[in-house]
Amino acid sequence: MSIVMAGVSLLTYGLVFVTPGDPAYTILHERRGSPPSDAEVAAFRAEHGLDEPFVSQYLSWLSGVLRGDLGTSYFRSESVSTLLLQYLPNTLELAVAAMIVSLALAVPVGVVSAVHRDTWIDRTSQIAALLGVSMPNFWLGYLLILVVSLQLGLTPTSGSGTLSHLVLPAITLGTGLAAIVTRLVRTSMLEVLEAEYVDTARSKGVRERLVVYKHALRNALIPVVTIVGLQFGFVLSGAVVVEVVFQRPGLGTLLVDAVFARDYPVVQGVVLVTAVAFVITNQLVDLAYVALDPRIERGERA
Amino acid sequence: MRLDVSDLHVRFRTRSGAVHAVNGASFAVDSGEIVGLVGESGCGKSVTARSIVRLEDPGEITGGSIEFGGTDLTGADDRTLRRLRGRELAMVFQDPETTLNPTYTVGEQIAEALRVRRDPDDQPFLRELFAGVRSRVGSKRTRKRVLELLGEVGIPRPEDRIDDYPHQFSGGMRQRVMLAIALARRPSLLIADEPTTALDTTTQAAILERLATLNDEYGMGLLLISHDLGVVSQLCDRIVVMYDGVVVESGPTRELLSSPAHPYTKALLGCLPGRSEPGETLPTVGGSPPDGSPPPAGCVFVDRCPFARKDCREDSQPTLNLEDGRTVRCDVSDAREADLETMRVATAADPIDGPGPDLNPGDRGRTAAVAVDGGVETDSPTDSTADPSGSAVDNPILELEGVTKSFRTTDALVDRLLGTAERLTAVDDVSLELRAGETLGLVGESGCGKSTLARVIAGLESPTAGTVRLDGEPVDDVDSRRDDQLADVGVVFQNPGTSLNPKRTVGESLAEPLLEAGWGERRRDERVEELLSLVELSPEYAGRYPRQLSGGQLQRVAIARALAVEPAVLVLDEPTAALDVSVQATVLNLLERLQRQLDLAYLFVSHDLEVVRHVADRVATMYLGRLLEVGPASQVLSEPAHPYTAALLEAIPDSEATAGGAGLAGEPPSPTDPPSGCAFHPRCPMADDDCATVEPTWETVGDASSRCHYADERADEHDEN
Repeated sequence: MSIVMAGVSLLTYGLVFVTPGDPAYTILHERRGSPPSDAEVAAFRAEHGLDEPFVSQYLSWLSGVLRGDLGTSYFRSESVSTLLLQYLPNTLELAVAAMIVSLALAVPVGVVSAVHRDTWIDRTSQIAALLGVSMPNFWLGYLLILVVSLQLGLTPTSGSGTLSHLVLPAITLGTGLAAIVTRLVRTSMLEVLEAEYVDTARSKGVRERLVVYKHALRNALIPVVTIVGLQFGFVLSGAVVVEVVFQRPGLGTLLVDAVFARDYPVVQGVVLVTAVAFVITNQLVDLAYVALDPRIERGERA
Repeated sequence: MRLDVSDLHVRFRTRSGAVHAVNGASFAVDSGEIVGLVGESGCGKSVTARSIVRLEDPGEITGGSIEFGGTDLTGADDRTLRRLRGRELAMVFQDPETTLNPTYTVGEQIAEALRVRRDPDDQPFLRELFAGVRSRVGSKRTRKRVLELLGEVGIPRPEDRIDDYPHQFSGGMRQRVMLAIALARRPSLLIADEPTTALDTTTQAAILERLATLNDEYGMGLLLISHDLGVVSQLCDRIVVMYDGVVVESGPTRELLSSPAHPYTKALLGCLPGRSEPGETLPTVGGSPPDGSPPPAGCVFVDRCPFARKDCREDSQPTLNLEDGRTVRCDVSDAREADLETMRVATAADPIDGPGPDLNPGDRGRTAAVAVDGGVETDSPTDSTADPSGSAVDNPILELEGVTKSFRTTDALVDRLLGTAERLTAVDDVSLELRAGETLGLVGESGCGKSTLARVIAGLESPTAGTVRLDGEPVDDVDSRRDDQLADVGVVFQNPGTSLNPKRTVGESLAEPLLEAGWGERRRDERVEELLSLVELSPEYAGRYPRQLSGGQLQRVAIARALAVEPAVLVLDEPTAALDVSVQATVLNLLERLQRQLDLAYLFVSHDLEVVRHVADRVATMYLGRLLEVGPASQVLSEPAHPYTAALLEAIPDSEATAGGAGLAGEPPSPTDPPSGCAFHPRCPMADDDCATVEPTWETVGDASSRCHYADERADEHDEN
């Protein structure tokens, strides 16, 4: 895990370093409203350590990170950690809500679809899933704003803070994932429903509903969990778009602003936090695995 | 309660049309009776069994009735079915690897059955889900009952095992858990679909004994479905024989086996290896097995019946009632009265295998000669066909000297670096030799290391210690073997369905080893054709895919592939274990013929002692990676000088033996921690203190040698008898 994090930090720092565009020039231009002089640019560089070689820049940044200091924004003259702490909860809230929406939608639909294989229920849900996969996030977001917020006036169009602010972004972000997971649950369920132990359960006289939800679903979820964990990255990147659409303050908006402003410490901070979130999710997935599949805990081969 | 199946029809709708699996099966099981339902794969016996508990989906019952205790199950609603399944009708399926839910403890799975039995109509959704999540049997009363059940089916130390998951049990133990689930319902009828097919002979014997006891104690009726006449005859009061979805004969076990009336029953009994002299060509059933096409107007067996008359094809055969409560579906009196001997003569006249081309023996010899030399006619190895007992016989073609193979049990990095990982010794100090034209049978329970040994010989694993010599030269694994050494050993695996690449045609599969050996395209094509004719398949099979072939045909292809580059040794790893008896007979005959013709040496790995007795010249018994006894088949399998061999022999379900022997107690110990002294002593009926401490050395008994302190005493015992 620490190896992954080290790699991620090096890569993000390196990528930012090689991107074209000079932060000193861009930032000073912005501040003054006119092109800065060479002397001013040089002074800015010296102040922020931008004239040092890459390795020493990276190392000093890294040692800062290890001490919990992510640097200071070039722009807002606030520390990156403060910015992250300010914006992260909003994004986490959105990501978790989106995950809940997608799972709450995908698991029952996937199961019902598999149980009623090749009927109109199955076909409808398959088409819905296809639509969900192919519909771009931002478009669905605007559509929801148009219908739910503007026409029906049920939710606010933008901002954050209350539950009603969260509903539309979570739905927008959740549906894309839900579509993928639905198909996954369906395929996995179809396979498990063929398994002999499902027939064993039926032959015991267990009700069909329990056969499906107690005996089949738990086994079917095992492969699904892996993919859902990996899809968390998808949720985070989707959050960038959705936050912009709904004007929610969050990591997404923070990142987009920082990229345009060449505010490198912020970009690096956001990417690092995202990477950490990703690694943590995967650890959680492994734990979920152990909870679902007793064969893994004991480290034996199945 | 009585089960009455009458005129049952079950059909499967597939893309390529309807498959008629059951076409009017009728039979009954009285309460407390043990009835065996036998037939070869595809005869509809499993579908019939599943239909009884109404789990025939995706098949559909298209006609007939299944009456159980006065209720017609074909029209029963969900509620009635739940009640019956929960309380009266239990089913045990074939493969214990797949029939238990891997995510719940065995205790919970048994407890669930208990809860369902208590009240089939009330299964609170959330309570059950919660019970699943907890997966530890909570209620004291239920827990006690589960422990009782586990004890009843013979699981040692039930308190320690109740909260274990299925993967922590061996195959035999899992099947016992399945039995416990079935018994939890105190059913009046237990349907067991091939309950012991996936198990070792010794485990099988124990499970069958348990079934008999349960039938005795609770008066539980039993419908035992099996392809194995031995199993059925040991346990059953009555036998029902099915063929192509129809019951062709039924009757009391003893009468049916001693004087079978239907030609199919006769053919089936005839092709059991145990009924023929070793080495003799086995009688086979001509023609191809049924394929699920719509039933013919007349007799289902007509195409393969040596007594078939013209009207058999057109007229539906009546079910005749014979004396002793037997019924037979055959109207030809000659056929009914013919004894097994006449049947043999009649079938022997038929071509050995339906789909194969009609080659007479002379032709075969010639094709083989051409086949092997690939153009150049002299100096081919097959020339020794003329003189199988030539000089080459004296030098073993394959020698094993102190071969040991062990595996690390963990892949953890730290263990690997420190060398602290436990090692599992799969093969321990095995020395053997194999000569041209000879068959060595290697027997033992599953997990004893026979397959690992086969893999070491084939070069798929390299031995940890000891030497494998081919033609006197030491060899290691495949990477370091020379081309000619690679060509020397051919391998045939157990399951041809998985050992052939489904995406390649038969021809491509056969050509692959030739391509590796650098043969040109023309020569390859010729050789493929020769190989096919060698295994009695017509050349057009080269263009087919494995899924278009039957199990027997696939195994022929696998044998042909093993023969492609003219090996001197064939390693046959359970080559007939996945096949029906009639198909097994044709494959065994084929192997016999190929051995004579090509002077091959066979290492025949099998758990089936009857088959080994039939094919092997010498037999080696293996236990926990060690050889316990080696010697001529005729001696080892009739007067075993090691108690383990004796126990294996006793475990064979045999129509002649009325009562099963004591059987082997317990399961083989873990190979990571083998017992001290003689590895077999914890399970040995004659073990004493010496056996627990001193590892026995090889003792010579007659022509065999045995690793037992008391080998001589056993030999004396045999002499007295």
